[in-house]
Order: sequence, then structure tokens, then C-alpha cells
Amino acid sequence: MNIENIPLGNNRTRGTVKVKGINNIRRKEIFWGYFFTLPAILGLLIWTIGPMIASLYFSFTDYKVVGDFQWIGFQNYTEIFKNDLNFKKSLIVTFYFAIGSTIFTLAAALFVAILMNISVKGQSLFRTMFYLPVIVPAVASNILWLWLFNPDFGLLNSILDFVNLPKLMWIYDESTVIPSLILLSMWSCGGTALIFLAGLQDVPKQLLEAVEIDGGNWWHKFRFVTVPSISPVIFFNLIMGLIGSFQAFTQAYVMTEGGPNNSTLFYVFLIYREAFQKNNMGYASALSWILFLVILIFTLFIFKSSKSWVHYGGGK
Amino acid sequence: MTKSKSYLAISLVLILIAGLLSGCFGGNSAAGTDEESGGNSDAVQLKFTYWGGPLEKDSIEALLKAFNDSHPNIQVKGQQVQGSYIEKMTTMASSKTLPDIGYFPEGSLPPWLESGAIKDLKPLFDSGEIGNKLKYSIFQYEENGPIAGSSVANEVTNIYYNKDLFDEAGVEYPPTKAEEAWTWDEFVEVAKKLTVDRNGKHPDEDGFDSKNIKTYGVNNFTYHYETILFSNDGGVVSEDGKDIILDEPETIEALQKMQDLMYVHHVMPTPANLSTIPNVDTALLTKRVAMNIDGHWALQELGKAKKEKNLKLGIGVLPKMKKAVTTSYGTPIVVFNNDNTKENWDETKEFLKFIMNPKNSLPLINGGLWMPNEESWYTDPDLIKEWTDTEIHPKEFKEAVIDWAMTNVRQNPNYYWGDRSEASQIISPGLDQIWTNKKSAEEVVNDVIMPKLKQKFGDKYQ
Repeated sequence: MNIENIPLGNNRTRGTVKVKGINNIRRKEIFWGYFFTLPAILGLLIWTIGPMIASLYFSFTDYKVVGDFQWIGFQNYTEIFKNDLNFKKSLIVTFYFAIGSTIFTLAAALFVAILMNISVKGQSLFRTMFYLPVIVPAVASNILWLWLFNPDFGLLNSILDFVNLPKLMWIYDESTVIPSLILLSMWSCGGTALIFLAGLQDVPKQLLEAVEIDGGNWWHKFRFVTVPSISPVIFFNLIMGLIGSFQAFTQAYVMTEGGPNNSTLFYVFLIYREAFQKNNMGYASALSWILFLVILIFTLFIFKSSKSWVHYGGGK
Repeated sequence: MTKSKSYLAISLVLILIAGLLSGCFGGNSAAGTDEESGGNSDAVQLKFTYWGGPLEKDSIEALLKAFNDSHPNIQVKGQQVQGSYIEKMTTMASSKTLPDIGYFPEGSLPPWLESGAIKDLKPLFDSGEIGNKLKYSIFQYEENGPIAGSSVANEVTNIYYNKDLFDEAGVEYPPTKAEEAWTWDEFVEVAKKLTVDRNGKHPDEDGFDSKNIKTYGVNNFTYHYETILFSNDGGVVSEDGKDIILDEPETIEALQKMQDLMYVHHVMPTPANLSTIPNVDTALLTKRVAMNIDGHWALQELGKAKKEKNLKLGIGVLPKMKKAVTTSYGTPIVVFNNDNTKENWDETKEFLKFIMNPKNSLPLINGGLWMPNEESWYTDPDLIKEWTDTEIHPKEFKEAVIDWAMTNVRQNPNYYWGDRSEASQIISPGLDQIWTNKKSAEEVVNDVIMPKLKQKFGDKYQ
């Protein structure tokens, strides 16, 4: 997906006039260019494109890892839509989590970025603090949150207790488990916030001043200057966040094992279970391609809609 | 850029590429064809995979060494796989680098046995070559069908408790003879006497605070729920594996009684409370739990606590609803059907017989982790002495565990029901709703689980 719609301003090399002498140098440049990007290209081909093609093929077979496999056409796919008992539920909880987590994490990240953008004493200390959760490995932070979520002596319930609110069951109850996990992903919004911060620093000062001169308050500045100026960044974070949360896995694997009552049976966790625990590799491949299509459709939809709300500097 | 710098850059790129490609062609190293075991280079090489804690690792390595020393023509190399064992096996199978012999998670056996990836050991069992293993510990999914193996260790379920708590409450210890087992009501009464909240009150008293319980009378039934179903003549599947009996009134009654332990009698932690219960040894030592329902493997940790921390450990038989009954667990050791084991079948068999013989795994048995897998070890007084004459096996062990394991075991469907894991993926999430008190047992079974089982298996079961 090409997110580099932001004009880089320097396209000179591409527009080179064909002059014989320069052509040689150009050819050399091309060679070395490809040479130096070869590790990345090969990595993509071998470890991403290759397995993708293989999984597409396997999705039409009854490959069970042990023993032979046969071409069975669309049988895996019809099986998924007709008979899979977990497919629908898994899709629903994944949508619920993906949309909830994307919206709330974006909001949290933007809020944190605005805070980090205020120049106060110890600014870099605060920035580090907000970014710190991103450095913690996912499994470690999940285990940490397992303690925070503990209904009896977890920190979160202690706080609720302190302010005389009823205790929650957090990840141990079907109705609260997804919101709890969304809370966890909000906690690690530092990476997204950092990208927002970069965007915020590019907001044209003269426009903000212009609003002030015209008598606008902070909300006008935020709504009519800041948001449009950082809309490409919002766009980027939205897409990355959505793709990432559609592929949520660690929380289900480490914290809930898909429970209680399958209410965190994330789609990727379902794929993992089919592929590596039940040996239904062909079936799991079919499941993955469905997820691929879902993500693709969502991404395309956002790209389509972006024309009406994403503003690029210099354009329009 | 100076010349030396550009060479550096080029070689870095080349190294990166080489690194990438080596991943594709380095497959052999994963197969673990053994280079270092030394000794006889003509020796048959076998690879054995297993899982387990530090004690198990030490014991297995010692066992392998003893075997290698006494069999110069065979060299077995052990590999401990920690966590995600079946995932690792699946990955190895896809690259054709499976070990020759190893532990195998019982839930995943049927498809592997069916596809022929795991060798059928029926001939060894028919001829008695492998020894007289406990009947209920053999993995066979059809009558006269292939046998994947039998449990390397036997594990039956009992009550493990802290005697101090019984003495303090003035309650008699759990019975050790199956014929004297508590009835369910007697058991609930005892559990209530042992359950205490932070103000020292018991569940039936006024002002009892069920949200702040200091000591729970009992723990862990939901893990061993099936034994209680058996005890009420219920279960998930019939003993011939042909009927699903989850919706029988006896089964539903037993499930309801377990839910009641948590939400009516308040003598057992709910799933949410469970996260505040430490490991079984600490739970008993710190008096967080009075009685723990557990498999025999718990004796390893509990025995240690008995020896080192002076835990007054006791073992009793399970309470009964209609009859006193327990069930068993145990990981099988399987032979993988690859070229090496086909070519060197005699050597493979030799090692299988060795590791399956309780004599060779005595450290694990004495340590409390395993029980022997052969009948004679439950009946022959000399052999019984050999495995239970330790500091950790309590006096009542003979009655409460050995006799119990000989006469009161109902075979666990793990051993004979091929659809077990498929069904569990429907049943377990459903049971969650019972254990979390969302619905009654009857509603869950009839409205949630049974329709899905029907959808999954059609008319295969009645």
C-alpha cells in the first residue's frame, strides 16, 4: 500500500533527460540501487510472498501436515462459511476489538501527543514515559496487565474500590473482557503518539495565529487547523492501527486463551489453533485468506473515504 | 565513498543475503542427526523428545544415559521441548524432521495415529512384549484398532489436604478407603466447616462475607469435573464412546452441584478468584485452601513442601455421588513412523521397552511425579515398597492411592474417544458459562452445548 502520497518535493532523478553519457551512470545507479535493496527484496520474496503463495495453494487442499494432501477446490471455504462453529463468533469479536481498539487508541495517542507537544519542564522525561510501554515486549506487558486486571488484588480494582465504585471482573467476564483489552492497547499507544507528535510539530504556526487573531478559541484551532493539518498522519495511523488490531493474537494467547466462552477468540488465534494445534493447515490457510480479504476491503474503503477528509499540504 | 568503505558495504549486503538464504537450505540441522554423542559411530541414532520440569529433565537425561551405557549399539539423544509441544511437532512434521520417539499430548493423538504418522504399537501390546500395562492406560480409539501407546506414567485423582486445617476445625480427615468415601452432602458439610472469611465466619453463619474468603474448603473441581460426572453415573461420552451422555439428568445434576460449590455454598474459588490462589503447595501451606482436588503429579510439589516446609500433607479418596470413582491421566510415549524407526525397528523397540519399564523411571516415581504404569507394581508388596517407601509418600498412600487406582478408576475418554478434542472445543467454552454462573447447568447443556455438538457431529452420536 502506498502511503507515500506526501510529496517529497524532489523528483529530479526520475525526470532526467536521456543524454548518452548520463545514461551509463544512471544504469550503474540502478544496479547498485537494486543491489543494496536486495536483502529487503529477497526477504520479502522468500519470507512473505513465497509463503503467501504457498498458503493460497494449501487453502484449496486438505493439507494436515502429516500424510499426503489432496486438491479439494473450494471445500475449505464452503466449510468455513457453512459449518464452522467458531468462525462467526471469532469474526465478531475481532471486529469489536479492532474497531474499538483503533478508535480509542487513536484518540488516546492524539491526546498524549498534544500533551507531549506542550513545552513544559522535563518534556523529554514525559515523552520517554509515554513511549516506555512500547519498548516492553508484548508478552511481558500482557503478564503485567494480568496482575492489574486481577479482580481480588489487582491495582485497577483497588482504585475502583478506593473511589467506592463496584469492582469489575475485567478479563474474567464475557462482557468486560474486550473493553479491558482495549484499555491495554490504549496503554501502549506511545508509538502512535510519537507519529502524531511529529505531525503536530508541522502544524503551520501562522494559521494557528490567524485563528487567534480572528478571535477563535482552542477548539477552533484544534478543529479547523490542527486536525486538517495532521489528517495525513491520522490516516496513516488509522490504517496501521486497524491492520494491527485485526491481527491481534498475543492477548488471547497469553491472557485469556480465547475465553471466557470464546469471547476473545481473535481471528488469528483461531487460525493458530486450527493450524498448529489441530493440524488443519489447509483449512487454516483458507481462514487466513479470508482475513486478508477482510483487511484489504477495510483498507480500500478507508483509502476511498480519505479523499474527503485527508488534506495534503500544497494540494487543493 | 572511499574504496574500503564501499567494499565493506558490499560485503555487508552479501552477508545479509547469505543469512537469508541459509534459512532455506539449513533444514538438516533441525533434524538433529547426532554428531557429538561420541562412542560407536556405527551405533543406531535415535532422537527422543519430551517436556517437563527440572526434575523430569534430570531424570530423563539420567535414564537416557543409563540406556546408552548399557546399549553400546544404540545412542539415544534427548531433546527437551518446553511449551507449545504440539506446535513444535506440527512444524517438525511439515519439514519432515520429526524425532523418532517421544512424549505426545494425548488430545492430539487421533489424527496422527490415523494418518500413520505415529506407529501402531498393537503388536507389542498383543504379544505382551512391552509388559503388562494397566488396561485403562492404553490409547486405542476403536475396538481392535491401532494402539498409539500407553501412558508412561499413571496419574489418578485424589483429595490432597492440609491436616492442620482439619485439626483446627475439629473435623475428621477425608476417608482413605473407597468404600468409606464421603457422600456429596457430607463432603459439602466438611468444606463449609473449613471455609472461613476474613472475620472468621463460616458460609452458613450470618454476616458471612463471600467476597472476602480467607480459606476455601476445596479447590480445583472444575479442572477434574469429569470424575464427579462419573461418580454420578454421568459423563461426557459413554464408556463405549458411542453416545454423548452430557445431557443425561445425572450429568446435569453433577455439573449443577459443582456450580453450587462456588455460588451457593461458597466453599470453592470461582474462576475469577482462582487467579488469587497460588500454586497448590503454597495454597495448602498458607492455608488459602484446605483440600485440593488434584492428579497424583501434585505429590511432587506437595511432597517437597512436606519434607522441607513441614506441610502436614494428607491424601484422601474423592467424595462420591452415587459411587466412589476416580479417573486417570498420563502422557503416552509414541514412535514416529519415519525411515529411521522403520529401518531400526528392533533398536527403537528396545528403547521403548526400556523407557516404558517403571524400573527405569524410579527417580520420577519416588519423587512423586509419576505412578508406575504396570499392574504388578500395584499388587506386589515388594514392588510397592520400592516405589512408595520414601519421605514424601504418606502412610495412607497404599489405601487412598494404590488400591484406589487399582479398583476405582473409570477410564478417561482421552484414551478411547477420537473426537475428544473437537468436542472439547465446544464443551469447554460452554462449561465456562456454568463456572462463571452466567447460566444454570441445565440451560448451558441443553441450550448451548448440545445444539452445537449436534451441528458439529450430526447424527454420529445419539
